[in-house]
Amino acid sequence: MQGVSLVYLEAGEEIERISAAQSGDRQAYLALVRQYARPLYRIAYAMCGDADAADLLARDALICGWGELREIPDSLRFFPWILGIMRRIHETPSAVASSPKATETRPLTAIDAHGADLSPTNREPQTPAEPAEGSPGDARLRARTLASFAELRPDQRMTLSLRILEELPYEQLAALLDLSLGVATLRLSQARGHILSRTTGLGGDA
Amino acid sequence: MIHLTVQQLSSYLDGQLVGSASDNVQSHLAACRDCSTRFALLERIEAILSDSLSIDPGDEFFRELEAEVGSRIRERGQRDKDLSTPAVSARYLESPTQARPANGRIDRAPNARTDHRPANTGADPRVVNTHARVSETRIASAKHLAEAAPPQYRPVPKRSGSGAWLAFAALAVVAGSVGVVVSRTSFVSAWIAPHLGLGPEERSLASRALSPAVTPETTTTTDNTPTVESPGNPTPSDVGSAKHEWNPWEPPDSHSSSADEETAPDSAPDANDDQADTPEPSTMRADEVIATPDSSRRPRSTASDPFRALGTESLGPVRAAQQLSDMANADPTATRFETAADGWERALDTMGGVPEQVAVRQLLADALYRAWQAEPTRARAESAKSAIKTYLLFAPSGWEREQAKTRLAKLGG
Repeated sequence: MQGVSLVYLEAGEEIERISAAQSGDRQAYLALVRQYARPLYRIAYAMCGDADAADLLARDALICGWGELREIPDSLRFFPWILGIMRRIHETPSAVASSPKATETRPLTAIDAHGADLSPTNREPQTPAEPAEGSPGDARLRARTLASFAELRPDQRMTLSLRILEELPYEQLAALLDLSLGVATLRLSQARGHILSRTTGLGGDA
Repeated sequence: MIHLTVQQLSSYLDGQLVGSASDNVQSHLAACRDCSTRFALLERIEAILSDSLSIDPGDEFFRELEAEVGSRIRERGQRDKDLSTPAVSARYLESPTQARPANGRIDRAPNARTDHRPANTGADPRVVNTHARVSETRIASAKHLAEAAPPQYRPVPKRSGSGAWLAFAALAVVAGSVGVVVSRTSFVSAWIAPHLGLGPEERSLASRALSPAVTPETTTTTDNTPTVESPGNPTPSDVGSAKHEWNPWEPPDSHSSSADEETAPDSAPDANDDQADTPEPSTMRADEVIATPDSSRRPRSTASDPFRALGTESLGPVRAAQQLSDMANADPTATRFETAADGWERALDTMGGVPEQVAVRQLLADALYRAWQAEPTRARAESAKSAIKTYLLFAPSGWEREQAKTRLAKLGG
């Protein structure tokens, strides 16, 4: 796995920056952006399955966040709050239904099978999946896994992404998504169960 | 044999099981081939997802992202300063459900919190995987504030019906009545008609006053849509202008050039005919939703109003934005369109995940594009491009989408 897990600002520092940003200090807000843009983008990418769409989604959430910063609850830290905004934007029914990128539902399979170049500066139109390295069985498993991941509900996808990408313990995951521990655990197992059911038999000699 | 559930496998994979629960799963996996196969598959799935979902576009990308966010919020702040249009009551531009103090921001009692902020311990300021919730100290601080400090959101003092309001309402009624009476006079109608798309009766009055020889008669078609027939020998310009002015869905004159050049390929030649034959399209175009002098007369909540289902929290800012768009269309300057764009942004902020957000995004993009059209600058082009790109992310296929793409191409995006 590339990159590092979510790194929070020290609580006091974050409070100061939020207060300053609420008073109109853009630099303070940009410091928060700098801190959390990477994990936010990673989750956006997992939600959208497309680098362009993830870029737009993360950017939109951060811009929207500036407008709504006055309403951030005292009990929430910045990242879960901005994540909520991003989830809200992403889950807009019309956006999900009408976004060309969402309707094409080839997230990740197309991108990932190509392997690597996800750099926004080198975003080519995604083409159908090529077999990844390894045996044909591996490629099939990979493709089926990614396709079934794309079939998950957005809440399941986000939960699983946070667990896999940020390696958050269940308690933090539940707190971040404002869920009970039981619901977070259930959501994770449902997501994995779905993928498992779609890939059973493709495991080869695993 | 009873197999392990997915939940058990999932929790075991994440190391969430402890003690006997973990031991039981471990011993079962050692004995059961099916479960061990499933667990191995789960591990492979995890590895695939971890590998595939990890994306790192590089530092340069995040620097650009930060710069763009900075640029957007700076523009937004600038527009906030310019948003002092007297025609729009400021209360519409605020969230109606949430009161804001006179200084424009919600009192989070920063001083009080500063007093209770945990002292800087000198530890590493970046803590990996800190709990998402706020620290106990901060919660204690919040509780203290809840007891000692004034409420975080100051409630709006409830206003009782006052004499001033009644007097204002009475004046508004009188002024409205006078306006209606005056507008019914032939000279005023004649003056207004070329500028505004009026109803059939007003148009008839105006036409009679202007050219007694050509007297349009108003008829009603089977679908009760008023049309104009010229019984005499009207000039082509008469016919054209009549059709243009009478079609309530026609974009205003100020938009006609841009609307024509951006019309979708399949609607170019006979767009006007289509519109004339179709009194009320099922969806509204951006040009139509943006209030025109004509539409400002119409009640907003028509069957085609895309915002009719909005709750009051969002409807106020939307109507305010529509009013700003009205003003921008009436006097198309870049500043006015930017003010309208700001109104749409504010409306967007209140909307959350409702479907109407797409229409607002479209109108926001439209306003920024028109601002660029009015006074092209690089910054305006970038703003418009950004808004159009965002809209395209949500836009359904159709005329509006094509128009947005055309505009984006014109902006060099």
